[in-house]
Amino acid sequence: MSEGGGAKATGEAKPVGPRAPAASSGASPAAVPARSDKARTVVIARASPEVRERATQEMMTRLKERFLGENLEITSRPGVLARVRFPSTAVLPICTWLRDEGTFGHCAMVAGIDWRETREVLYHLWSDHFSAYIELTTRVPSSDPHLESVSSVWFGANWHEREVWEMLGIRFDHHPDLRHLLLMEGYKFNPLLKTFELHEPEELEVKARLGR
Amino acid sequence: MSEMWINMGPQHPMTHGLWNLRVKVDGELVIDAVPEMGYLHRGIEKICEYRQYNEVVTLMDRCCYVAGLAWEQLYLMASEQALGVEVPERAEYIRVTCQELQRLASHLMWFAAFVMDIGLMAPFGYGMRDRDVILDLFQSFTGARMTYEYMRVGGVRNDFPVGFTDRARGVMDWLEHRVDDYEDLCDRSDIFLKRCVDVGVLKAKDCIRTGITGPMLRAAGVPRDLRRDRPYSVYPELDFQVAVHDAADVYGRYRVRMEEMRQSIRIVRQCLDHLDKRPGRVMAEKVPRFVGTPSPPPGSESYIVRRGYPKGVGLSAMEEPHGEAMAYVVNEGGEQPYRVKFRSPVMVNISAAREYLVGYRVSDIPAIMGSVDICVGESDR
Repeated sequence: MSEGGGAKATGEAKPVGPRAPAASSGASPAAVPARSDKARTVVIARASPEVRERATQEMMTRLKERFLGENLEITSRPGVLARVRFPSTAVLPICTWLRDEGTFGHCAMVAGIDWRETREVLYHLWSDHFSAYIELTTRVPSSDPHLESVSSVWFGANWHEREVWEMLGIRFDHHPDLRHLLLMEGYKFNPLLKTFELHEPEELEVKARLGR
Repeated sequence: MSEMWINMGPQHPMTHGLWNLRVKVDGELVIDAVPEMGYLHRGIEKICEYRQYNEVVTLMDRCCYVAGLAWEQLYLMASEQALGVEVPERAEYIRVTCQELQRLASHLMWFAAFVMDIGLMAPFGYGMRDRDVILDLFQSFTGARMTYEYMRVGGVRNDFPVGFTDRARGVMDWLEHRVDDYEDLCDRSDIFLKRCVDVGVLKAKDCIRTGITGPMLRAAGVPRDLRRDRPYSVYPELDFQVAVHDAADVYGRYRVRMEEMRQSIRIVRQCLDHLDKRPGRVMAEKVPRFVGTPSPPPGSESYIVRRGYPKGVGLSAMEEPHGEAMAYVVNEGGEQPYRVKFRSPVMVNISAAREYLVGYRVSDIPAIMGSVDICVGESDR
């Protein structure tokens, strides 16, 4: 498992052009428009681990300085650039900053975890510049689980948030379209909460036999 | 002209699975589109919390039924990180071989379905038949053609059978010429070009904003491929290229997938050469015992036992045939994972349907949605 570590350049991007110009027999030539076939340079962090480490540290320092009042907890974790824990009220400014200043232009995943007393929301963001993920995490109390939506920052977070909302009951304020995504309309339960019990077919069978 | 909503789905030849695309049309013109998912939701993430680590592998085959081995490896990479299990090198090479064979099978399946949507019947037969040859290869070492249940925590279930590498090499040599044939069939067809070129354009900026990944993103000129950009397994040892295209339309996506098939053939050959030279274990020496033993009867006291195993968290990301897939596994010391979360590339690619459908005609919808390569099994989970 050499996950996320290696920086060996194994290949360059290869532009794919159309093969031989279509020798269509007698058909109108207008159907085959000219296409650009030129190569482009590929800008990807292929720097040495030390340079990458320094760039990461620099970005983390800037993030800390920018959000001095928010008590960010930045820890390292294998497989991601860093793990940033922040208070749930600061989600919008931090995400906007990471998108604009931190080059994290792609929101890969929004996940929720039920820890019974609190519920955790995880954001995994990808940066083409660092060629790595960053993990953001925040906790909301189970008594009133809600935080600001980041759909306005990344369009791609829209459906992820809808899924977290219906599965874990975490409300995303100012979400443009907070409807059920996978479950049926009007479904009142949140299946991924630990209080939602899964009944195995065998278990139900035993219960039916015992008359319980 | 009056506007109206029409439902394309959940039973529609365009959908390739159970989902519903509501489109608002003004005559022939699409002016709005709302995809609706959930018809195939089986609660796999919830069931995972009640299964031991190896038992989840069975569910992964059902996640994506055209790329089951890809999802098995995705889940196992995360759970091995969470459990702290090291995988032997030979098992990694076998996994990557499976991975690339699976990419070939998935792209062939996509090709067959896509060209039929567009109206070419002959390539459909070629694509389906050639996919079966790859499924024959899978059958020879997993015993199954679609739901393999082949990988395990710590490696794979069994090694390749004797003579498999030679047989696979023969298939690769043959398939390489077939890919050329597909391109000849499509690129010389005026119908194909008229329906593909400059249809469903989504530029790189919009692709990144909407979270689109995989061949759709690379067809827009962004050379992001997690096999190279965030190397996992033994991909750093292998020599391959990332296919990109500038067109950002349906034609570009077709072109990128064709080139990816050639690159997959290249990778499979390198893996087979390595496997011939280096025999070895295919299963880790040390694997926690509980991942392999069957669950105690549900409802009994010992069903969820905490025995104080080390805790851990695993995150894996891989370039699945459809795009960037991720798995997040939380191990809280129990026999079952505490939480398993998957990122399906198809779900995100569909969520942006409005962006690449609006402004085109109703007759373009099958071509555009076909080029997205939809697998509802993984998007609904």
